[in-house]
Formats: sequence, C-alpha cells, structure tokens
Amino acid sequence: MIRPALPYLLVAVLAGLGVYGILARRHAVLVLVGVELLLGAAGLLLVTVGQTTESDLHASAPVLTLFLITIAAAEVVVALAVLVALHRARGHVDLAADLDPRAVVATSDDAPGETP
Amino acid sequence: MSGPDVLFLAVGLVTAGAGLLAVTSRQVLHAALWLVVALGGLAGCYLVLGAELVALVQLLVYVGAVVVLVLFALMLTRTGGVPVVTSVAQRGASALVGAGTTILLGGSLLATLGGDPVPIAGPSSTDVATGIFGTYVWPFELLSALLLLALVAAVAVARAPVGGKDRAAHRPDEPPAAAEHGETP
Amino acid sequence: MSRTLPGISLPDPSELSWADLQLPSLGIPALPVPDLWGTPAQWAVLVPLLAALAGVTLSGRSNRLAAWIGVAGGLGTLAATVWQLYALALTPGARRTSGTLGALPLGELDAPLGLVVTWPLALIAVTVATVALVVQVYARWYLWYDPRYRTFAATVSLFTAAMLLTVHADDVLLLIVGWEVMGWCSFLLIGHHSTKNAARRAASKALLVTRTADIGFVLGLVILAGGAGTTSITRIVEHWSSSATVPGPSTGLVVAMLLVVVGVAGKSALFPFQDWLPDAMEGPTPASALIHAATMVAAGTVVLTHLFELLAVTDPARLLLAVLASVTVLGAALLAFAQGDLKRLLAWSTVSQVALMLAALAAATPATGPDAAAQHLVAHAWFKALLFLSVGWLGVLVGGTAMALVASGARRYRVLRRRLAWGLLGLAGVPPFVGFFSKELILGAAEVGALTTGGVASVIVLSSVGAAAPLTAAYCMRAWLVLDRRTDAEQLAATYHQGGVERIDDFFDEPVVLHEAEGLERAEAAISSSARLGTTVLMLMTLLGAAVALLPVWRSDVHLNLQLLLVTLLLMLVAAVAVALAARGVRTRDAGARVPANVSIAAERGLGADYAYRLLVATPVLALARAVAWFDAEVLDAWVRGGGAGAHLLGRAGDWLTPRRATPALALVLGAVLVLAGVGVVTR
Repeated sequence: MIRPALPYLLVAVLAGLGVYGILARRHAVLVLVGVELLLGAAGLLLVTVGQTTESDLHASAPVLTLFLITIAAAEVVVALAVLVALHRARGHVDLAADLDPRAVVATSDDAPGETP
Repeated sequence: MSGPDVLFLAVGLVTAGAGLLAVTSRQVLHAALWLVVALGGLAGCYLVLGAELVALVQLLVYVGAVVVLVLFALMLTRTGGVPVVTSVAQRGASALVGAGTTILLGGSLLATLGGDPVPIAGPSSTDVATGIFGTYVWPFELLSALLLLALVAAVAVARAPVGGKDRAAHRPDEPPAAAEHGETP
Repeated sequence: MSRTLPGISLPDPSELSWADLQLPSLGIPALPVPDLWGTPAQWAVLVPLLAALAGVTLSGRSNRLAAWIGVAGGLGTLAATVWQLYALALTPGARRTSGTLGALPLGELDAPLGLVVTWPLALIAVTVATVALVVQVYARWYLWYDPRYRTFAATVSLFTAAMLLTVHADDVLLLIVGWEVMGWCSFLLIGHHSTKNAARRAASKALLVTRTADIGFVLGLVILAGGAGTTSITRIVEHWSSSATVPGPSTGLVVAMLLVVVGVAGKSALFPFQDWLPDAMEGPTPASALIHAATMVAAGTVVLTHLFELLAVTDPARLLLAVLASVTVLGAALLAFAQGDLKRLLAWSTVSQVALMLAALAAATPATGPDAAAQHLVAHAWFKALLFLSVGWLGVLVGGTAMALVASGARRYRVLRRRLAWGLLGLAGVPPFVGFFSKELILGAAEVGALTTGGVASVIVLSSVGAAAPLTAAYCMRAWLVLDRRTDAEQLAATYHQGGVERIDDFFDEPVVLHEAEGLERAEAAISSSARLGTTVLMLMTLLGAAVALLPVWRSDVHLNLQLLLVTLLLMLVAAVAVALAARGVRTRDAGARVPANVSIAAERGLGADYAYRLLVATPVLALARAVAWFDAEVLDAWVRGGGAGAHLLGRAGDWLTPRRATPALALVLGAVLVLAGVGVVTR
C-alpha cells in the first residue's frame, strides 16, 4: 500500500525544478539538464499512474515510459550535436547571448578576439 | 505510513535534493553529476513503485549513456568563463514560473488522483514484453528508426560547415586552439 | 371641285392620298428556291461578320486577297438581303422572325436574342448592303497605296455586320451589341490615318461624344427591358404599350424614352452632340460615305423605328426629339451654307438630313407610322453615298475638296458632272429624285400629325422642315454653282468672243477642246472601272429610288397636300435664285463668299462647339476627376497609408518588445503556457 500523493508531489517538484533549470541557466548544457529533469518528471508520472490504478490493459504505462526514455536519448543526441555546431559557429554556448544572425556574423568575423 | 511510503519518501527526498542542486549549482560539471544522482534516484523511485524493468532501463540509458554524452559535450564545448546563471531578475522570474508549475501540477494531481493508499499492482515484465512486441510493435520499430535517424542527423549537424562556408579552421578535426587563434593576426 | 371626265376619274387634288401614287402591288411568283440553311436575316449579319474575320486572319500581307474577301463579303451580304426581300414578299403578314444564339439563361430576365424583319427594315438592309458593297469596291481604288488597307476593308465589313445587326435586332442586347460595335468601328475608320493628329483627335472625339450619349441609351434600354422583364423588343413594346394608361405614359416609360432619345441624339449627331460628325471628315472618303450615308448616323432612326410605338405615346420624349431635331435641321443647314470645304458642306448636310429623319419620327403619330423616316433613310443613303464618293473622286483629281479647288470641277471632268448634279438634286429634294418623295412624305406626316393628335411636336417639326427645304436648296445651289463654274478657258473664250462674231479661224478653240478631252480622260483613267460602276449604280438609284418610295409596302395613309407641296417647291426655287444672284460677281461663283469672313470662320469651326464642349463638359469632368483623385490620394489613401504606418509602428514595437535572447524568450513562452494551463484548470 502506498499513498499516491507522494509520487505525484515528487512529479510536481521535479517539473518545477526542470522549468526553473531551463529558464535560469545560460549554459546550453545546463538548460539540457533542466529538460532532462522535466522528462524524468513525465516518466515518473506515467509509472505512478500505471502502478497505482487498475485500468492498465496493455501495460501501457511501462511501455510508454520506455518509449519516453528512448525518445529522450535521441533528443539528447541531436541536441548535443546542435550544441557542438553552435559552439563551433560562435565559440560559446551562451543562450542568453544575442541570437540575431547579424550579431553572429559580427562576432564571428569582425571580432574573433572576443571569443576566449 | 506504510513501508513503501517511507521508502519512497527517502528516495524521493534524495531525488528532489539532487535535482535542486543540479539546477542551482554554479559548476557545470557538478550540475551534470548532480543530474546523475537525480536520475538514479528516479530509478529508485521506479523500483519502489514496483516497475523494475523501467528502473533498470532508466539506469542503463540515462545514467549509463545520456549522462556520459552530456559529460562529453561539456568537455567538447569547454570554454570556461561563460556565465552559468542568468541575471537575478530573470532567476526570480524563473523561480516564479517553476513554483507556479509545481503548484499547478501538484495541486491538480493531488486534487484528482492523490487519495487514500492504494496497493501497488503493476503489470509484470511478461505483460510489458507482450505490450512492446504485440500492441506497440509498430511504434517500437518506428522508435528504432528514430534512433538511427537521430544518430545520422547528429553526425551531419556536428560535422556541417559553419555558415555554409567550409573553412579549414572550423573543421572538427582541427584543434580548437587553432580554430580560435588561427584568425587572429 | 371634283371634275369627272368621261372614262377617266381624276381624283380631287385636295383629297389626293399617298396611296393613289403608289405602284400597284404585284404578285410575286414563287420561284423554286432550294431550302437553304438559316434565314436571310441571319446570313445578312453573319456574312459580313465572317468577311471581317477572314479579312483580319486570312489576308496576311495581300491587299488583293483582302479586297476580294471584302467585296465577296459585300456581295454575299447583298445577296442575303435581296433573298430576304423575296422571302418577305412570300410571307403573309410581311413579318419574319428568327433566332440567333438561342435564349440566354439570365434568370428572371427573358433574353431570346431574336431577329425580326419587316418591310422597312428589309429595304433599309438592302440599302445598307448596297452602299457597303459600293464602298468596298470604291475603297479598293481609293486606298490602293494605303498600307493599312487590309484593316480598313475588314473594319468596313465589321461595320456592315454591326449595322445589319442593329437593323434586324429584335432584342435589346443585340441592339446594344450592334450599336457599340458600330461606335468602335467608327473610331477605327475615322482614325484610319492614325499618323495624323487631326484624324486621331476626330476619332477620339467621335468616340467620346457618342459614348457619352450612349450612357443615356443603355440606361434607357435597361429601364425598358427591366420593366418588361424581357429583352425582346416586341414584348417590351407590348408590355409598355399596355401599361400606358389613359392619363398618359408612366414615369418609367417617359424617363426611359428620354434617355433613349439622348443616346440616339449622340449617335445621330443632333444638337448638342452635332460637332463630332463634321470632324469625322478626317477619315478617308469611303469611310465618310459609309458612316454618313447608310450606317452609323442612321442607326438612331432604325432604333427609334423599332421603338416607335412607345415613342409615339410618350409626348415628353417626342417633344425633346422634335426640339433637338428641329434646331439641328435648321442650324446644320445654315452652317452647311457657310462652309469653305465641299466635304464639310456635305457633312453638315448629313447632320441636317439625319435630323430630318428623326424629326419625322418625332412628328409622326400612331396613325401615320414611322415609315416616312425609314423612307428618308433609304433615300438619303443613295444620294449621300453618291455625293461623298463623287466628291472624293473629284478631290483626288483636283487635289483637295476646298471650294476654291473644286471650282469648275463638274465642267472639267464631264464624267462627274451628272453624278454630282443628280446627287445635289436628290439632296435638295427636286422632283423626280428620291429626296423629293421622302421629304414630301415627311412634310405630309408632320402635317397630319399637326392637324390631328401630334400636338406641339408635330407643329415644331412641320415648321422646321418647311423652313429647311429652301435652306437645303440654297446650299445645294451654292455647291452646284461652284462646281459648274465655267473653266478659265471657257471664261477667256467668252470674254474674247462676245457672241455674234463669226469666227473663221478656230485656232483659239483648240486648247479648250484639248482641255476638255484631257479632263475627261484623266477622270476616266483616275478611277477603277468597278468603282465607277458602283457610283453609277448609286446615281441610278438616286433617280430610280423614287420607285422604292412608291412601293406598295409602305404605310400609305398620308394625306398629300398639294398646296403645301407647291409652296415648298416655290420656296426652294426662290432660295436657289437668290443664291444664284448672290453668286454673281464672285470669281469662284461661290455664294458663300458673301458671308462675312468672321461668320464663315466661326461656321467652319462649328460655332465654337469644341469650346463649348470643353467649357461645359470637359472642364467640369476634369475638375471632378481631379477632385476624386485628390480625395482618393489625400483622404482615402491617408487611411491606407495610416494603416501601413500603424502596422509599421506595431511591428517596431513588437520588435522592440521581443527578446532577442533565448532564455528570456523561453521564460515568456513557458510563463504564458503556465498562465494558459492555469486558466484551463481554474475554469474547468
């Protein structure tokens, strides 16, 4: 016997932490960390619902959680590739920097000395 | 307070604490490692909830692969000196949004689903296997294709020339130092 | 009064009726005509249309082929119209109808698109076809070296098709189609010499003036068709005739007929639209002959003939038409007298004569019918085409049509003498030429109208037509005196041989004889034999056309007033004698030279009608256009520009508000999502 309130509470806390991580971080990898926390909250929600309710016909909850983990892995792969490309293009992965493409040209061509 | 309750409370507290540290730590590497702890704790939560297969996969894929990948990316894009956190105002706003998310999600979940203690009765591993290779076999195959596609796309994106110009200095096989200092006169 | 001789009963002159003069009606033998496809009315419209299309598409660069197509089309049209005469003679009731494209599906509006032919229409059609054929033949000679002859021939064919469509149309839509196509073709024909500024100006003027009047025409026909719920003219006439109640015609009918009269006034060059027609002389002579003689200006008469039963019961429209036509008849005749150019004299005479036809329609009552106008149309076509083509011929020989140039023309070129003489006699209305009969019919119809139910319109018309007869005779006499002036050689001979001197040596006569012979040969050689044959046909019709006027197919209940007739002839004689007296002592024998110079110049300029048009129409319209343009640019566009500026400002504001950095933007997005989710949860 378990109180379902506990896992649900953890889901909410993890989701809030993930959102905070996405918004409060400038480093792209750390933003990705926030995303992972959010995805973890989603997985926990699925598993909790599957384990504490009766109406799970085709074992959907664990299966979908597995799918979720797989998709998250693929997402992380592509995101990190984009991140590497971003780093090569700009010399940094600061998401709070100006995203204007003109600014990118200016920084990458005219002022390469700014990149440490 | 039954046994699983206590167990879950402990593991959940570890998970939440590690998650908090992962999103607040000023050291990039520390944050990544705290993420490992948080995801491991999540796997523990799955165990407590009785989903052993999911917990194992979580450990394998996340802790074993994803976090390693994150660490590699950290090393590849190691620049140092990049500020990690945003301004105070934005952090305040972010905390507000995060807290709002927690309150909204938690409130609605607890109000609808959080009630009296229920028995833990999930599907067995056999059921899960039947589900994957029976009901969900086509999405499963699609997922394998997705993984392959993601792999190829990642390679293509990471190796693509920058800004449409294939500069020798920006080739990935060039050392980063040469790429950064090659253009400075 | 009535004297009865044994054996012969002479009718009482005071009771002489038109019917007594008419030829007996003869039985037409039923010839074994093969059963042809289509009706003659359809063929009469289709053949020139096909000829025009073929002329445009097939002739390529060959003038010869274009001429063959044009002439063959003209011959085919003539054959169709003659066949139509024959078919009509065999038809009991003398009325044939046929369809064209089938009815149009226009919802509640019934549009059968039919054709109709009655005796007047059939005779008009034959006349149009003949004149068009002669014009085609003549144009081949006249425009031999013209680089745009092929276009001209095709346009003449199209013009003929449009006129025949207007003549035969029993449907308002077909009527408007023919009417408008004629307007465009007149633009093309008048502006044929498109490199000449004057020609372009005249063409645009003709188009603009007639188009302006067409607004009234189309509006009037729309009111008529809309009120009757059909576009068939027969049924429109039935509908509105039955709705015309005892107190008078309904307001809708009055408005519609007034508008139609305005449109007709534009096309037929009535005052105040008269000034485009003399300017249209800038077109080549064959075009002038076609436009003036049989087609465009006469189209108004044809349309009002179609709608006569409505016109006759609409007194305001009749009065308007009578006033406009009477002013035009007299004013144009006066202006014609003062012109210094023979072609322009003829143009003004056209204005006057066409107004005469419309005056006849205005004066006619349901009892007399519109046949007098149709007869004058036919008669006018013969002599006016003859005059135009002959004057064009003379103009080629002497190098222009100014009075000073054409002086003595009829003496130097004997072959032209009879043509010009007969044409002018027909124009003046001297018996036994066609003009006499048609003019007397108009007088008779107006008299009947004035004495019975015609009202004030008939009185106006009667007086103006009576006054116009001597004026017409005056300008015809003037033209003839100039044309028939003795040549210089003859004058010299008259000076030196003052009669009674028996001459032995005829050495001095030699040059005169040579001159005459040379003139004859040059005139003969100057024109192609086919074109000369065409003018000969017209000349003969100027005389023999009187027989057409006497055919028993016209309505014959016009009373002949012999006293009125004699008085008219006497007035014409007096006018001619007065002109002859005035011409004495002028070198060119031009009575017009007695007119003061400033009056003459003003007359040549059409009494400043151009200036009046500019002052009264062009300037206000331009001012209105400028006002509208200003309103559009400054007021309406200001809103549009304001919208643009506002959108630009909004865009700038949005650009300024939107974060260019990733994480603040994400914060906004996620915050918004949170708010939306909160709203969803709260409002559930």
